[in-house]
Amino acid sequence: MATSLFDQNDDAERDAFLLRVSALVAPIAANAGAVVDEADLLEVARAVYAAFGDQDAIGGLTRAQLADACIGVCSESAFQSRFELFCKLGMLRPHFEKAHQQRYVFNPTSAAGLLVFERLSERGGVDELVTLLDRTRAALASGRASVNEIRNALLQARRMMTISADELLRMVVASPLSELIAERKHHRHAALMDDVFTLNEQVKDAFPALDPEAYRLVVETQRYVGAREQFVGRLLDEGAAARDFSLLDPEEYLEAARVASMNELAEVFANTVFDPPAPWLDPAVVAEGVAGFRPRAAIRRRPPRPADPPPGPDPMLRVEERAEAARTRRARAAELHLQGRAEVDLTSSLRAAGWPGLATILVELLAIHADSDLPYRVRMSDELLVEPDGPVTHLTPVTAYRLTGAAEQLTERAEETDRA
Amino acid sequence: MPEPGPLTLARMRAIGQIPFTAQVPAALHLQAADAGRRLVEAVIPGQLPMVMLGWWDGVEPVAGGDTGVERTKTSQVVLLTFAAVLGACWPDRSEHPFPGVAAEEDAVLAGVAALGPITASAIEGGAAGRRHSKGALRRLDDARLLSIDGSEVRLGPAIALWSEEQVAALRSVYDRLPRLEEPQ
Repeated sequence: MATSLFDQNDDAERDAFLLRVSALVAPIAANAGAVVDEADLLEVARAVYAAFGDQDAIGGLTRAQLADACIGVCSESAFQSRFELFCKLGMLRPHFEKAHQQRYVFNPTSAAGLLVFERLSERGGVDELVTLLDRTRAALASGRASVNEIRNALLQARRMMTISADELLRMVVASPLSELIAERKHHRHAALMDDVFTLNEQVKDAFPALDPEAYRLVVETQRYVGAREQFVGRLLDEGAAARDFSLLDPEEYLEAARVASMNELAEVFANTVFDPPAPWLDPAVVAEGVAGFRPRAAIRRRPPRPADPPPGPDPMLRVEERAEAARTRRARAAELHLQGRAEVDLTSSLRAAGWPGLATILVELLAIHADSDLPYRVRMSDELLVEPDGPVTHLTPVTAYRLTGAAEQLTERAEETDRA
Repeated sequence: MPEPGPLTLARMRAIGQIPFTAQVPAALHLQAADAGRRLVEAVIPGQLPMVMLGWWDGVEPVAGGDTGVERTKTSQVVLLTFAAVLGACWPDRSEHPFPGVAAEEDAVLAGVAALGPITASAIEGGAAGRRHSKGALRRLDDARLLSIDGSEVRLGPAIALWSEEQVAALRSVYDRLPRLEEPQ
């Protein structure tokens, strides 16, 4: 465990580096054993590269000269196996100038590969993304880029952002502190958001059709920056927490839970006394319980079931009777309004009733009108009488009339259905 | 059998027992002793022998009385159901109750029912009492105080851990254990 939050931890970093290299090569590896599993073997390649770059290597170098260059770095057998591999994969190519002495030259592509691995050990995947963004911006500025190139670049950048953000969020939740510290230096791009905004503006000017893609890139970048803040937050929380020396702090528990073997974890409570819970039934308790048991004297009995009530009046009959009574009341009220005449104008009596008396009478009249079994109807005209100072400010003239004869009732019904 | 590590002890404490067909390795005895536990072999007739974790004398945590430790008292139903199982499965009072004989579950439940209503809310002639006892049987099975096999009930391996002094305390109430018929 690092003693302070920001100490370098070399072993953990070298292991992390090899994991990164494996992940880098995964898209093209033929099998799972394709990458070296010790960082020292990479030193051999570096030593060979240095030999070619430093010594006077015009015309190539012989195998013996290369072996000399690798003396301090690895054993003879290790050099032998690496040398054969380099030749097989094309990093060292034979140079046929001199017939009797086999000489080799270094492939510039492998040199580029070494530079990439150097960069990878310093900065991680997000760096590649930043390079891509820079290249895209430069291409847009110079006017050399085509629509498809820019679209492709935006798509790649957005995917990379999404993946990086998800990785950071995963680490915030699940990784122990040592992994977080090793990962920290790969996410140090302070100007990332500004770069993306600038790129967005450039794309809008040059290729307005690509605006949606550029916008999506901005959104994903914001998500990545948010994930980065959570990541740093977790590191700072750990650093700021007060340390209680009597307990392990939560990071150590998490690391132990993820990394320790089952035996180590079982060791923790090997000397502690504990048991799963069980009912307290040792013999003394049972004996006491049995001896002290007294059967209950007062016993609850189920209450007797009540007898069924005698059959009462039919409820539906009562409903019908009530409806009939209401109708009779309404008919009497209508007769009261009509005062024996066939038709009467109720406007003035409504006005005299005031408010809310008018409302009561009107509702009653409308109920009478709505009952199609009664021979009374109400007619409201289209006029509106307005009297700001009166007892009722707005009033519609209302006439009530009696339907005489079945024929008039029938025509009434026909008119109503026509209007409906 | 591979050398038992601390994992074996931890597994035993979690599950409660491990079946052992060979001799128990001395290393495991030592490990158990470190935690104050003693290994006890228990054989239920009809099943493989198993090893249970008991306590060394004087180490078992005590509760109640003037020890200052409070422990939840078991409910009356569970206690009396367990007493009924003891009554049905312990034929000879002069012997240790374990392993005893097997009894029918119905006989045990009838023994409990014969005591009358146990809880304050029990209704005479109701089915709740029987259900309560059946639930108590399951709880006792989980605690390994008894073992249920189909419709038969036997005393469980935890009884094998009782010492002679403890059994003596129980012999005094042997006649009062709930039973369906009178003991001979």
